[in-house]
Amino acid sequence: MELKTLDFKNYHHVRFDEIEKKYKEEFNSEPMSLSEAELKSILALLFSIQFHYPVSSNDQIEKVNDILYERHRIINLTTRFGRQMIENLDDAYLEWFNELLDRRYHLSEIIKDIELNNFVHLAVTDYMAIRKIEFGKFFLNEWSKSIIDTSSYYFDSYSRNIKKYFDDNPEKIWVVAEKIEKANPSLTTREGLLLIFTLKEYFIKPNDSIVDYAITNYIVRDNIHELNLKRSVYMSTIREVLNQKWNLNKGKGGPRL
Amino acid sequence: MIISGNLVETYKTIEGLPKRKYQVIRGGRYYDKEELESFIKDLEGGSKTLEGFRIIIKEELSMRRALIVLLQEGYYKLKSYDDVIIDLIQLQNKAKIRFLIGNRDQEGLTYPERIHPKNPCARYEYNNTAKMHYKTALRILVNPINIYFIDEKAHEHLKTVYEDVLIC
Repeated sequence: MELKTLDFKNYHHVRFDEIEKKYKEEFNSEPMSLSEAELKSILALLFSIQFHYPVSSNDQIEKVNDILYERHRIINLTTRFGRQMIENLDDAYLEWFNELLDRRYHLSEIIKDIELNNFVHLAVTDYMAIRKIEFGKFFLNEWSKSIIDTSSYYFDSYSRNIKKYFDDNPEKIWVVAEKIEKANPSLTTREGLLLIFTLKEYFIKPNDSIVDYAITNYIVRDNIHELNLKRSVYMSTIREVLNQKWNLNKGKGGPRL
Repeated sequence: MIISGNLVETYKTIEGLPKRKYQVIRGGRYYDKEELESFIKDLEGGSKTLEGFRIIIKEELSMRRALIVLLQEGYYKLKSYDDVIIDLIQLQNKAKIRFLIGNRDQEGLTYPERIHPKNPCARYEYNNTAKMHYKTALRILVNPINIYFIDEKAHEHLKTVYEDVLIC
């Protein structure tokens, strides 16, 4: 069996609060049929919940609601990726999906629906063992848009300097680590790594950093809530890194810190 | 808290985890199965190191599939489960150690024959829905690569089971 990478498609996403609103009358009583777009949107949300919080417990209700009600752009990235996996289901799973589409659901209980959760686990979540590389790359690309502030007057010139530095010194990516540490010594190792991967992906676009992508997958999976909360910290750390001196002494000992 | 110089070393350690340069994705379109399998093995090899950085390399797997893996590894040579005592709770605990297991999808995992039947074609002869579910459960375990099995022979054997179920 050939395994293809995801083919990123256009789709119609329906927010869960819109579904709640549309079926307000029946929400707590009658089981309802859902449209294909509605069901796929819910499945993508279920994926995100399963991926970040595999074991459900009461103390996570607010965190799960952050996913369900799409309160934060960063957290929504996982749902968007899940939706792409759903758009790329192969025939074996589509047959099952079509059966699910024929069923009716109690909307108030749909997030706990065992069959839907079972489907999402088997058809989507379990495939993250393979798709972790794609997810890591997708995440870094999207998340960099949130934490790299390109609005500064000097951004273009910083950006040119850094690109030039790595063109001249491709083996010295570790220098980024040094600068991140200097900019913010209180970051955890995981956070530091994620910022290195982010800057590397943004400025160098190496395209083959599969180990970065895979590690990003694990860091994001287990820490999405914290990553979202500390977004502004990462943003100012990166601003500080870009502000540091990236001198171009053509490999003669690298930059002075 | 990062001790000075630590992030550089950590980064270098992580970049050194793959034993060679892998071409996991070909032409931006297809996974190269052998390359992916080797890369994942290298990553798993570094799991203790990564744990030190509080990065957990554990693959998510539904309990159904995890139990299939463990039943397969433990009992694939047997023709029936009748002569062995299998403690499913113990097996589930084992699954939780080896894989990242969720708890939102567990239903009907009551006895081995129901989870991973010895003669699936006969068991599901009149139940197409159950057969479809079983087939899809086996899918990622046998295809495209071996991510989950430690016992290679058990994995090879499961491939033949899967091929049989596909045509019966």
